Amino acid sequence: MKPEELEVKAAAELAKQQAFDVRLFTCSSRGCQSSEALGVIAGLKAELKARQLESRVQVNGSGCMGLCSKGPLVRMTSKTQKDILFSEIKPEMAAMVVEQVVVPVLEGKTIEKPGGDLEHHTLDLNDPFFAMQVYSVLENNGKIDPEKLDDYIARDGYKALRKALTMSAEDICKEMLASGLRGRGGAGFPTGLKWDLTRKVQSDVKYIICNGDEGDPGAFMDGSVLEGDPHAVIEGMLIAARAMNATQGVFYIRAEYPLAVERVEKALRQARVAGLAGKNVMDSGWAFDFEIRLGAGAFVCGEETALIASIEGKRGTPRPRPPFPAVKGLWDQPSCINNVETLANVPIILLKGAPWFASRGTEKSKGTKLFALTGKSKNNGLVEVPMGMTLRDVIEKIGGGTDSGLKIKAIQTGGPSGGMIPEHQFDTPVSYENLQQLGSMMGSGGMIVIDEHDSVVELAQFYLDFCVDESCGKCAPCRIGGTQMLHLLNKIVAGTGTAEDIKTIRKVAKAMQKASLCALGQTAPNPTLSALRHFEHEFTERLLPVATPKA
Amino acid sequence: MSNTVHATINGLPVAVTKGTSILDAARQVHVRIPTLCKHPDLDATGACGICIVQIKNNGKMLRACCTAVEDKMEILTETPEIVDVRRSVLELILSRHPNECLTCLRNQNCELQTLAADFGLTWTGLDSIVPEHAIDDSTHSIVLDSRKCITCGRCIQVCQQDQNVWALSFLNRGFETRIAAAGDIPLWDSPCVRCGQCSAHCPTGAIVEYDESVKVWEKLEDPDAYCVVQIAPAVRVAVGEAFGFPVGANLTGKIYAALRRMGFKAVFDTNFGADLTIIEEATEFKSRLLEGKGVLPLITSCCPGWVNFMEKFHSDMIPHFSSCKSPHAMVGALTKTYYAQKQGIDPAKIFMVSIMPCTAKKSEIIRSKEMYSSGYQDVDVSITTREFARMIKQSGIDFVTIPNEPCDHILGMYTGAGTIFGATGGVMEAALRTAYFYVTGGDAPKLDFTATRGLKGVKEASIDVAGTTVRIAVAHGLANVEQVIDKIRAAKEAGEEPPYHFVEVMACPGGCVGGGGQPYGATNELRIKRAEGLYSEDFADQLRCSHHNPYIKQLYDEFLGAPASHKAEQLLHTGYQVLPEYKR
Amino acid sequence: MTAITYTVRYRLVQFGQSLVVTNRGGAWIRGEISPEGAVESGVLSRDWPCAAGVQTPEILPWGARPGKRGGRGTMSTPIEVATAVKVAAPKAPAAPKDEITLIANKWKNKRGSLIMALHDLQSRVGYVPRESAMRLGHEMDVPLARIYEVVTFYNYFKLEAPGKYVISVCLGTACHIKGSAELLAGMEKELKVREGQSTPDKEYHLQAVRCLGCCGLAPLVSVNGKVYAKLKTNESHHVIERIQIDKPMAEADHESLAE
Repeated sequence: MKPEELEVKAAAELAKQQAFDVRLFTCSSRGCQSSEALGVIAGLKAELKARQLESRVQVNGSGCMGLCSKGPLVRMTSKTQKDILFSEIKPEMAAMVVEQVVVPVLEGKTIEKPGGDLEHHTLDLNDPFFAMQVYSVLENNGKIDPEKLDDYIARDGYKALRKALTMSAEDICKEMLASGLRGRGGAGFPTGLKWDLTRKVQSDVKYIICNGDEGDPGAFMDGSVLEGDPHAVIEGMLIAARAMNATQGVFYIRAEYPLAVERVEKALRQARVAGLAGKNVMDSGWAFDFEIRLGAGAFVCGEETALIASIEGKRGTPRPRPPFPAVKGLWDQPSCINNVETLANVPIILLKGAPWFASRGTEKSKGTKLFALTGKSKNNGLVEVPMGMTLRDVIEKIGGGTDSGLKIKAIQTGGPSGGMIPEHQFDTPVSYENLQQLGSMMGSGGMIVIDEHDSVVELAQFYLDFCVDESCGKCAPCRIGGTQMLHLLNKIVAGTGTAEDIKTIRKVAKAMQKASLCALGQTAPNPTLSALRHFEHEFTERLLPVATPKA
Repeated sequence: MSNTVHATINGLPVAVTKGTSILDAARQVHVRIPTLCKHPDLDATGACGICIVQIKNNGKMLRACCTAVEDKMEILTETPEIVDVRRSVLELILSRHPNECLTCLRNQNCELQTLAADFGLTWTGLDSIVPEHAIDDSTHSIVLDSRKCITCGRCIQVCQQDQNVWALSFLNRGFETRIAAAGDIPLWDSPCVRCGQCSAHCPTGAIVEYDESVKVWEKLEDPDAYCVVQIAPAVRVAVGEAFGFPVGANLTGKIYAALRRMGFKAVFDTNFGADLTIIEEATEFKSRLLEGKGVLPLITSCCPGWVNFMEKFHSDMIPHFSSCKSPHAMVGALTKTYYAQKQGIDPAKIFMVSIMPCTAKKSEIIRSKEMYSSGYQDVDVSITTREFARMIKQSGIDFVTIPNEPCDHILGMYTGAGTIFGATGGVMEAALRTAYFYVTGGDAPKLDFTATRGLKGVKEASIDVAGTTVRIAVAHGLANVEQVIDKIRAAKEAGEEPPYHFVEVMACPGGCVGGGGQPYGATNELRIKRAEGLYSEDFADQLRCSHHNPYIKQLYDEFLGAPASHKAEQLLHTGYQVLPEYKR
Repeated sequence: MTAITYTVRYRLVQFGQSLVVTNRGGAWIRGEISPEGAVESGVLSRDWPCAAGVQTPEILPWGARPGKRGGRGTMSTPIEVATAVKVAAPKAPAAPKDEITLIANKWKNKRGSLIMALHDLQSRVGYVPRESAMRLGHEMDVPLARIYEVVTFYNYFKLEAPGKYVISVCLGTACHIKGSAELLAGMEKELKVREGQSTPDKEYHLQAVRCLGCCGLAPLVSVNGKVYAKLKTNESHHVIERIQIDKPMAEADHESLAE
């Protein structure tokens, strides 16, 4: 594809879309597929065929539209009226949607809110859940079919790459640095700086690796992005490759996400056919291609050096850093590892400019952040909020409080490496620094809401159990420290712990934090420690009663 | 850009080459950072977390073993906080380690125990969480007890990288991580070649030699048994380390004396067997080189670890193998035939003990029917240098002051050529001396073939033997063998002339001086010193060629007839078989 | 015969299909699980070739947890032995040889592709059989030890043939908060197996997994890829019934190997 063909393609696709009076997007992501979304799509198609409306109504799959607990979601767009978002549509309801809403709209009627049986299957787009979110990474979700390249191109897809091809590597890095984008995988290292470090290392072979090994239990943002907008990530990687003169791209995706793997595979095939990847990227003479590698169920492989070991077909054990992957990474070559969400941010930044991106957020945390809002939250799902929004707004307004109506006790962010944030600290604006200051961390973006009936001791136990299970076993502090800590925590949960045990937990935790080889071990004690900090009484209440000496 | 970085350690300035680890840099300013998993032979893995140090300006803790010093780094190594964290980590390690020090072969010789003593640990305050794992002693050479393992990974690095055997690997992950043969099979069924390098590198008692000293004591106490012993070349320069002698001290006379006091009725020396091996092997070489009988190169076979490796991984090399038994096996066979006849002893009563630097010898003595050539098991027990050192201590002999004694019989009389068998290249050098004589009828003008010496992984040379060029290769450490074998194989497939005429291989790094059964703590520095102990004896010897050994001549005259005679074939030679890499 | 006064601790361990009785630092005795062997009837008879004269051997049952005192008995205690010997499962077929060659050929020229090849192998036969692993290693020139250290490191790979329907109970955080532990316990009770085990008839395999990425639908289980979402944690019985009715098929065949 020649650079100028992008507009031609986009225009052709837009014209095609314009030809339809109504377009239906059914979420075909993992969550909604579990709720028979594919049946809904088939049902809609069959019904429209029966009514001979195929030429006027387009049926599409789409990426995640956020409210996973209410899936499958179906979005209807029309030239004549505002969008309608249906929820919990079963395949057998497809005919009803067509009959009660699509047909009237085609007949020129305006439907404010569907009535009848569909009344309770329509979501209010003015609800804070939608209204307060700021879509940037998720901008395309619900608006394109992730399996169609032309859909992506019609929404300015690959224009950023075209721009990048005219820029010097250094300039791309500068632009990224100016945008203030920081790694969305958890640690928050400035992306531009990381690229620049890799760029500066001289080597004939360099790798750009997409970390799609979303191991944090209770987080599914990266999977959703890969499923919903795979081309954005591919474009991001291509730009990253230009910025550091990388020669090969590698997707590392967890095997538990077969749909994401399938979508990325398909998107890569499309990109190669279209000349956007492969031997001659956008007719620029630059050759760049990708490989896909699957994880196999190891949380520790989210750690950069462990991930590299895994791509090399070995046990996913981390190695000491330095040397950092930027100097010595995959196959001992300079490598840059970026998280899916980070890469998905890249095209927009390049297209709209660093100042646009930096205009959102706090001083040191820019742009938007995806969260997987789950647990006892009323609204469960994928949300995107600007940095700087208070936790309370995210949890109480977007999340809508608890589903049970019980009081919220705390949230847990950062997954097994993060910590608990009690309710009285909810007025803190979301940023890397603030969350860290609260004793938690941004992490990849899991946000678990717990209510007053949930035990933080048991949640701490859950996370520690997870880390013990997922410890690679290489270094002693993590391998044995985690097990000992869990052993003590189990005692406390079982009601046989003593005050001495709490002291020992703190002591072991310190050894793990200071002497573990990688972040998994260093951060594994965090949930327990933060629970102890904010809710020590819940621990002491469970201790073995101290025997009082007889008089 | 300058290649030197400047930093401070505990406020003391250091200047080191870029890439130097903090651990090494600290030595410059006389700071000894404690370590556990790091071994000087091996790459740092950072597994244990004991060697952590602190960076002054940000308080970060880094591992000294695997962190390179950076310019302007301010490193602290002994703050109370560091010591506290190190102690906590050590406590954690001990809570996962069985409290069996008093009944462990590594008692008082264990890196973990030493560290615990240094830190003065009295009680860990943590519950013991030692998993139950079966002990694997199936090889009868080494014993693997993964309960005692601290998963430092040294054995695995040695087995996989240095030896290229891939018998051991980690299994499972996290707390369940343990060392085992592929898929949890007994080592006996695995590719293990019994070299014992894993045991020589293990910091704890997780992998130790299969201790058979009790068997020896039992026989020594048995009035019916006629106990005979022989010591390998490399033992004499290593056993002293257990008694505070300088590394490389050659203690042959003391060893003979100690053995006699222990109750052995006859003390022989494997060096005699080495001389004999040279006579047989040089004869074999001559017939292959000059008479075209058999293929070239000829490959040495005195290392049982190497024999196992070849039978499992390179069985196409069998025709190249010298059919000579290893020296101690020859002495064993002769003891129960020649010696028994001469002394009028019932060979059935003879109990032959070999003291070897080697764990593989333990299973070599029963490896095939040829090991019973005397009609009995030629060698009854083979113990390692480490077991032997313990036996000296058990016997109450003051090894430091005991006067030298000679050996007993012609089966203990040897030349310098036999002595140097214990170092890599030694067999080759000894063989060249005799081969030269066999080809030319006279001795080489210079007996030191120095091209064979030293610790380079593969040593190649062309040697002029009176106009005939002999191409040789010497390899030690099994991973180094591959390139030699590959060359041979490639030439064979291409129908070209073989790249070598004669190849020596020793499984262990440095040869037998670095054997798997030698005292702990072997590093290249140590291996060189041990080898020097052997070479200096050779250099000082009157007789430095096996063919000059008068007792070898006597043996042929009285008993064997001639080299490669029928009797010699029967007693001194063996065969090889193809073994599967995995039995299951 | 005089009674032996010192205590010998015996360990009974299973390596593959073999039983191995070993004492500490002493003799090593092995035997196969054979139809004639007293083993299969659940009793290790006195004829078992253990060192003669040992009066009080102790057996540590297979799978006994560390440090627990219970569970030791004598050689003739049937119950101990019964737990020591796993029920010999019907032998699951290994992947046909030519398929392994295909997998090996597909991956062997790509560096570090062992994990991908293992994914292919497991997707064919549901687990990684030893013979197949040996053959794959041979053809890809990867040592078997490397294969096992990788296979046992990653949760995804199985070393034993699972049941036909693999029930994965999600134990991610969202599901945990919504009571998935109770759900799993109910499933264990219902199927009479422990987590990580298959039913004796090899119909069901129950496993816990860490987050299937459908947190909005917690708690949930997935059976051969089909998700059962928003379950009630006390209705395991009902879930099993639904699975029995649905009999969800294994995921569609992966891409053709020859591709």
